[in-house]
Amino acid sequence: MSSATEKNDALLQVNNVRLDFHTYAGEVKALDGVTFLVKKGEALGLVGESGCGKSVTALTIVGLLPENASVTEGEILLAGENLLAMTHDQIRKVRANKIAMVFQDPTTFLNPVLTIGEQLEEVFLLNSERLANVAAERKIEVEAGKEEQDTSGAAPKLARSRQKKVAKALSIDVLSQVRLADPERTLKQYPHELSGGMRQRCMIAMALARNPVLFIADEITTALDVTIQAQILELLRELKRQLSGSTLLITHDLGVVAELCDRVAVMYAGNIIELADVKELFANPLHPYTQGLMRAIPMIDRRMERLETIPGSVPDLIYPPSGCRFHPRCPFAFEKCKLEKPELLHVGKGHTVACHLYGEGKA
Amino acid sequence: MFLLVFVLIGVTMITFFLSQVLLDPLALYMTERTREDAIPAIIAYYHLNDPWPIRYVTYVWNLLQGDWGYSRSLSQPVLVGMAARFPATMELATIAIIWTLVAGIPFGIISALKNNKLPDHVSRLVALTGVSTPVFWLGLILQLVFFYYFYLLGLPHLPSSGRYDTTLEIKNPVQQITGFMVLDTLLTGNLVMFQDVLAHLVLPSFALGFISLGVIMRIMRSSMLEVLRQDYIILARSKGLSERVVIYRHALKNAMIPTVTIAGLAVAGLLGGAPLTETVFAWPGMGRLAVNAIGRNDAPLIMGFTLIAALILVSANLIVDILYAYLDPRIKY
Repeated sequence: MSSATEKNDALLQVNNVRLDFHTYAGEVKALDGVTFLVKKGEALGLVGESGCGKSVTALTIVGLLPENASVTEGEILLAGENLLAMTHDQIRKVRANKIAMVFQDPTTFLNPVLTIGEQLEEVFLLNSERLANVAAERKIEVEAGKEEQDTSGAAPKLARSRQKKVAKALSIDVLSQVRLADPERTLKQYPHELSGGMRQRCMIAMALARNPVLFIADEITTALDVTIQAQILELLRELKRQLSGSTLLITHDLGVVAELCDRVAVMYAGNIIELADVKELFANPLHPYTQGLMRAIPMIDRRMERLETIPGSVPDLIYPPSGCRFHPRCPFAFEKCKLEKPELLHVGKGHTVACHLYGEGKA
Repeated sequence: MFLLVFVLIGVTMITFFLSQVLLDPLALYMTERTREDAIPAIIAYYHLNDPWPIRYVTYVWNLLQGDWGYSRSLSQPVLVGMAARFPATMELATIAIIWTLVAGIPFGIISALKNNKLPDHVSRLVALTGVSTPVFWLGLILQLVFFYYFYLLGLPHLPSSGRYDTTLEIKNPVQQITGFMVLDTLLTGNLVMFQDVLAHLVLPSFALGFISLGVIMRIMRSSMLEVLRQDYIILARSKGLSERVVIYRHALKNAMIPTVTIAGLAVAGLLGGAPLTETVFAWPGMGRLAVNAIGRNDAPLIMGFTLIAALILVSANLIVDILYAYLDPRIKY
């Protein structure tokens, strides 16, 4: 596959992004030249163990990094526009209209003192033009006399009371879309009155409300118990069929990836080390780390005394290992791995890997 | 509500024990000029020979009937004397509370948003000064600067004592309606006296509220900082809401919860500061009445003041609890 056609149908391109956290102990080199792209309409899985930079990558895309983080290199292009070069206000508009993110823990990410309705309707109220169009389509009216016609602006704009009414109608729609049984009632409830699964559905609804071109789901099943996880995954699968946008699914659960994603990017210590189609990656993992991950999946048809693990532990990112960051744990490491950082290499069928084992073979 | 009654019973018990049981109650009704042959009559009149439990029950019963005892120093029933001075104290305290909240909450928020920048340092310095300045000293310094020095320099100066200018009042008499002079002058359209009353309120209400200002600013700042670190703020930002909406809609209501608690306690702090402030500024309120009562060993009046103070404190806490339920939907009564 040539990279020119790949770039053409790319929605989001993350190019060589480096990011440091300034901490008391030193600079944490959290992202070390992260490069990947999300195609239009696809679901890309981003997998890796805790602390490898998956969530930081997502927060970098939406511009919500904590204050002590700084991007030192690279660009993130959404349909050709560099998100990293945008002003606060511009990136805010991108969050409002294009990229929606759902987070891990629906208990701490929903505001405890506002109702679901208040937290959901405010998303719709950000886009007055859309509200006006919807109102026209569905002929939502307010009581006579209450309506004030606003003809000053070029874009159609509704009176506030009418906007709220439309936003409420849209909220009910989107809550039924995430399969909540009684949307009208849920709108009036506070987060503490809902179960974990319902809360996560509400958070997903807040993302869908923006009709995003890119939907980022950051470990959205991790904080839920297993049966609820299954329900949420089912919902995601269903939404994926209905929606046209792309999905970036961040998880450490390879099972989730296998079920929902078209392609997978494997991350290790701030690098993308392998990227391939789901089937290809599961059938033919190339990077020693990916191979280790695959072996660590428990299989029901494979009897084992002990589950296999990858020896060693996650490196200290203040003083990361030289060369390939995986070399201290890699069973195949040789001299070059300690000295040179491997580049991402195309090894065929849209499969890329960053490992000297394969560079060597090609050269 | 139950607690309210319980606290009030406790307060009456303590004041009663301190003044009527631990001390010889007879001393409270005597002066150096009391004739010896009058003593049996006093004992008989006040039932001083009864056992103290009976005297306590009688005292509480009388309280409930509206008979709070007779104040020797005022030559008036306690309740009448206090009722006359209650509006002055309430007016001073209300103004003090209003300005401390109006200034303290926004400055606390600014302090949190400009964390560790110049506005934060300035407001923290003010807060620290507020918390550590004694009311009476602050009152005297304010009088020295804004009354005396301004007067010496020929600048417009603020009055240093009293609720209003008595000579001015002769020409512009104020009709008493609510007892709150700010309201009374406004209601009757007496603008000359309205200005005068406001001018008289400036220094004492500033001195009285200054401590609470520091406390409220600090708590508002720290709870705002705490809330801004919460996950739901990240979600709110990720929705593309403007920073203004994130702060005032998502953060403020959460951050107000601890602040309301402290504000309730601050009301109690104002009452504690009232005797000092009123003494320094010759403010004709209940605080000064209590100070005089202590000086003249006027037990019924002291007990009355203590009870009123407790009543206000308990009511403030009740209001705080009600506000909690409004601010935090997780709390239900």
